[in-house]
Amino acid sequence: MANEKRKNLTPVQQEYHVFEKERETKRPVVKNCFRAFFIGGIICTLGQAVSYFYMYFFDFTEQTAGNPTVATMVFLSMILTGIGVYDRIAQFAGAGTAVPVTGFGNAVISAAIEHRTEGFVLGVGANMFKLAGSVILFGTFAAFVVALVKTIAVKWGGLG
Amino acid sequence: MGIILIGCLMIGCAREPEVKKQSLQGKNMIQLSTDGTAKTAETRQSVAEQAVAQIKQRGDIRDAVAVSTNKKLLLAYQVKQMARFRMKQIAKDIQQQLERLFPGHDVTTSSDLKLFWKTDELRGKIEKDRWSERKINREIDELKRLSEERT
Repeated sequence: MANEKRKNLTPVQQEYHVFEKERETKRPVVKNCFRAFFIGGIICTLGQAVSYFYMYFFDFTEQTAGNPTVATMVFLSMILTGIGVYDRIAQFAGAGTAVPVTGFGNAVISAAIEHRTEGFVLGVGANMFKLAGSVILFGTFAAFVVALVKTIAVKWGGLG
Repeated sequence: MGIILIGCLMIGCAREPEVKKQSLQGKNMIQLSTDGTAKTAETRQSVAEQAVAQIKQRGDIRDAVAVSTNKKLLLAYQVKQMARFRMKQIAKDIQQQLERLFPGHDVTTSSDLKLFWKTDELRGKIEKDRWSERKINREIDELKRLSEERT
């Protein structure tokens, strides 16, 4: 709790706050970081393998293999979410599964499953992008801002 | 039962090196043991040889492979991991260096791994099947088109 707020509390409340702080379970931050690092790393290695697969067996170059790789990884995570495996991995690895592009597929499908009981249109259809919508919105917006900055820098800043 | 199981495992292990050898096909995909050029009676690959020798002298290049005809030169190279931060500059340098060295040739360069594999494959084919100049030209054009693809 912020210091500002703590000043407004009564002495009993402050005492309780200290009492509670001593007893609450500590967040294993370092352990979580390691888990996220390794599981996230494994997912990225898998992505690299998929990318090499597309390059080796199809006419994709390093440049063009990115798109089908992303599609495959999102699709795989969607399937794994559907059969309930991805949730278990996410429980273990936390951000390691949410940060890579596979987290996007998980966000879409888990929202769809959650609202399945409300019907296909108002349930699944309306809520599917409840979580992933923000990813799309801010992704597009960030890309727009970056493109704007680059355009200005190249046109008038003399860069590039 | 246990003996049979152990026996099966032993047989499995005994065959392993052979399988491994087959799967690797005695060839490293990134590092090439030869000088990275093809030699045929019909199409001399001396231009490709020279280009590979020149490019391999650079400190930031791990490996290079090239094929050439009388008019065209295709060179694919692998940039060392930490040098990849300067990828754009390296690509520009190599293109300019080769254009200066071989002014009569239409030079195509690429740092793409796919192009590296394909060029190496083409080099092997030229060496083995003694392809005609026209056929090599056509293959080089095809690879050039592939290297220019962006999406």
